[in-house]
Amino acid sequence: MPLSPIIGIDLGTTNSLAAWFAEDGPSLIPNATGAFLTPSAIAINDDKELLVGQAAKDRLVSHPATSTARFKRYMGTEHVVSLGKKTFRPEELSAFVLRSLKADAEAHLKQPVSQAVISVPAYFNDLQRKATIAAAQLAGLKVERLINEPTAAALAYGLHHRQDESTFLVVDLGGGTFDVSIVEMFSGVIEVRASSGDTFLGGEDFTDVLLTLLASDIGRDPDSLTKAEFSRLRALADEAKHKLSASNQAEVRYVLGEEEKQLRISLTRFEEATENLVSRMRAPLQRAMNDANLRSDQLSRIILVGGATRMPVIRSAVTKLFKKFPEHNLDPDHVVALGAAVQAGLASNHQALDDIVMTDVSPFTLGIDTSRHAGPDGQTQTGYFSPIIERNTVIPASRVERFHAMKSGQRQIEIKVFQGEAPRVHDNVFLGTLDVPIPVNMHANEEVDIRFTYDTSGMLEVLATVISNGQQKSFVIEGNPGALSQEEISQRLKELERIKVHPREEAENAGFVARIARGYENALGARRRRLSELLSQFEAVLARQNRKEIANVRQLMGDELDVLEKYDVY
Amino acid sequence: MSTDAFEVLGIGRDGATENDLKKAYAAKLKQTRPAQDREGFIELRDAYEKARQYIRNAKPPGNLVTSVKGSYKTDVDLEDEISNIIEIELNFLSSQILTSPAIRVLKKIEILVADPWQWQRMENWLQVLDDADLRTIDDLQEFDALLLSYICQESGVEERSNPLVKPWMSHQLIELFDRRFGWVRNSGSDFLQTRELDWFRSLNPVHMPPAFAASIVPSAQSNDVEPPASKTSDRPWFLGSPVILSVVFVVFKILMYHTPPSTSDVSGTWSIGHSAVVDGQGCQWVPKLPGQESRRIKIPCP
Repeated sequence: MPLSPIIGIDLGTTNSLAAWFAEDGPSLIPNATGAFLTPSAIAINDDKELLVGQAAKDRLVSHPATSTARFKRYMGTEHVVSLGKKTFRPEELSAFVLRSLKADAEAHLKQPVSQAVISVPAYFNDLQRKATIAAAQLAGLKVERLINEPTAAALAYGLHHRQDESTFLVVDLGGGTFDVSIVEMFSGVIEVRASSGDTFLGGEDFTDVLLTLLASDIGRDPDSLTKAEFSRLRALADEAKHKLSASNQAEVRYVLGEEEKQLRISLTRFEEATENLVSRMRAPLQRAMNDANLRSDQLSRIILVGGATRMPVIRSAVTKLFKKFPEHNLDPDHVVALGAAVQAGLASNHQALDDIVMTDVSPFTLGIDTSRHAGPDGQTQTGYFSPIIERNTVIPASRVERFHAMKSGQRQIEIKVFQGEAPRVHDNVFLGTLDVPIPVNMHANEEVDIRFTYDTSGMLEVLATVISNGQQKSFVIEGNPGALSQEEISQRLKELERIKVHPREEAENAGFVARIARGYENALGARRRRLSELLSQFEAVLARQNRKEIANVRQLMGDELDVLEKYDVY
Repeated sequence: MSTDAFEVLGIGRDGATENDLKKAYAAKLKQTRPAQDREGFIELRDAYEKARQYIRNAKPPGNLVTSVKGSYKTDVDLEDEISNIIEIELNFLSSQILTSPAIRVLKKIEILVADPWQWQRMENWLQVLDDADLRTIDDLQEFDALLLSYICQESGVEERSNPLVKPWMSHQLIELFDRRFGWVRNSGSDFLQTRELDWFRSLNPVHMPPAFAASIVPSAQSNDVEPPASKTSDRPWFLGSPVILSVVFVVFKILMYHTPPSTSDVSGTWSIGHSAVVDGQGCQWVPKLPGQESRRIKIPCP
């Protein structure tokens, strides 16, 4: 075993988890409460301590002002979230989750962990990827590599079918993002042929649809709900969504004033309301098939990944589109983390993997801003995107294109680098700019070769060569406007260290208290009084600090809570 | 860099099949892992793609369905590629022509556009696009390609240098197509598709400024770089003028109220909404009307 293992992390919108490559293959790492999934939720408790995971998720209902979730959707933006008096950037919130996973891994592996392979949606752009790397740095982790989520899933599946010759489709619908990849396997090579996706389509959108349905059933407009009402109704919508994955009808209860209200949602109604979301899956699927130049009968398998693919509506939509039943042999919630661990094994040259190589593609086109002379009178039009590395090029890749100066006598060329598919640059993502001086030439337009070199972790190197004098100028795009610089990261790191983190060994107790508190919010009458009693009894036991006693009481109360929660209303 | 792709891969050029090539590539790849030897990998991958293209080009056309439309254009003779694609599409069409759901739905569209009272209603379009016949990804893909070609043909992609926008190709409809098929943001996966997508974009003034639309297929010399010029200076003075705006607005109103929609003749004197882009004679104005997105009105040259 290498001295310090590299761990694989699936940093999800709804849940996160870690895995490592053990002697006999990838293996999941349990968190402090013994579960594999750590909800991607952050809260600050009354003692100004930071909570991560299930405890924080439960507090979303009871303390919406000091807890937050789903911040992965803000990665790569300047959007800040306030928890009480403090505000946090999405990188910082993600860093808390990563830090908690790192602590779990260290406890599980009994050695320090400092490197990780972190999965990101294939369709994450450069800004979102850089934000993920910054989050890891804030959590004290060096990113060995970012891996695309569907690629990770393909690795986890590919491991079991090493010598297969097949082409398969990975459909990954997570909490917040939708990714599609087409993967070909031959002689131990796992080659991604095409990737496509939608970074704003996921299971959470289906929950939002249910929230709207429930709100209309109680005669409310979702926008008119208070933060507390909204959190309760959303937790209820989430519950209904899970029920609808197993049956044709979901019944949930909502407390309105001092009254309990029964709400019913049928599967048909849910399916009708989500038709629009389901049809948004079509375009990325079609595009990936197009780019890989395949028809559906050329796919040997379809693999479903991500918790949201548990919804029957997703499964039937995929089955209808491809006339083939999808597979889900591996738990859709675990497969990305397992694949990230396989990549971690590959990165540390694990001998069990020496007959496997994986190659991925750049899901976006990379190019520069150009102007064109167009029309009979030679008007200049600016802002055209000229691709240099086309989407779905196998990476690492290096491509060169030649460009001309606009006019004779021009002194410099400004290279503005963009990422995206739109023909006009302003619809694409701006990555960086480089000024290249060119010799003044009054007789001809100077020519410049621009070479892009894009590597597996998404670093782009730009090299410009002036043809007439051979002068070169290059730069590496690291920082982006809106992303954190290295100085900012180290400064924030200091600030974050000042925040008290709830002790890891206490996570289970904190989660238990949050669970009772959440139950209290949703209960009425006698049950509510009983929960209040349980809470004060448990806090009294906690104060005595006898671990054995705490564990015993937790066990006993847990059984009672299980019973009480059956009557849970929101 | 080594000159011969087959040499890099360590196999003979003669009689090599794509399968041999894959095996040779897989073996070399295990010694040249992308994360550990970047330069080596780039060279190997380059050689692999070149050799693969060589083998594919050497094959008789017709068996190429899975291979030609790939994205490895750099080393292919463009003409070869186009003729291959045309051949494939012809083969494909002849086998599908009687049974394909996509063709049946396209027929419905042809019927729809023939009736001005029907094509004006957006719900009719939605109904056709949501046709239950189009169920599988293959049907959808085929329909996508057929519809795009149909629109290009109808607007004169073969005969004209500028698109002739039929009245039924309303602004709203073009937007609907884009929402459904993502044509505006798609750069295309082969030469023909790219050309059709460029043409489609030029149907909608929002996606293409008039001067560029006047030379739809960019010339080889068009990849010029310069610091962005100020945009306003390129526009004729009258575009921003309120007087002209109101004149245009009045003309627009008159045309709206006095002329019934017609399918037969659009190239005549006028068309509204999203008219064809005119050549460089300057008969094209793009005023912003109150409450509407930018629209174009074509007025005969004096």
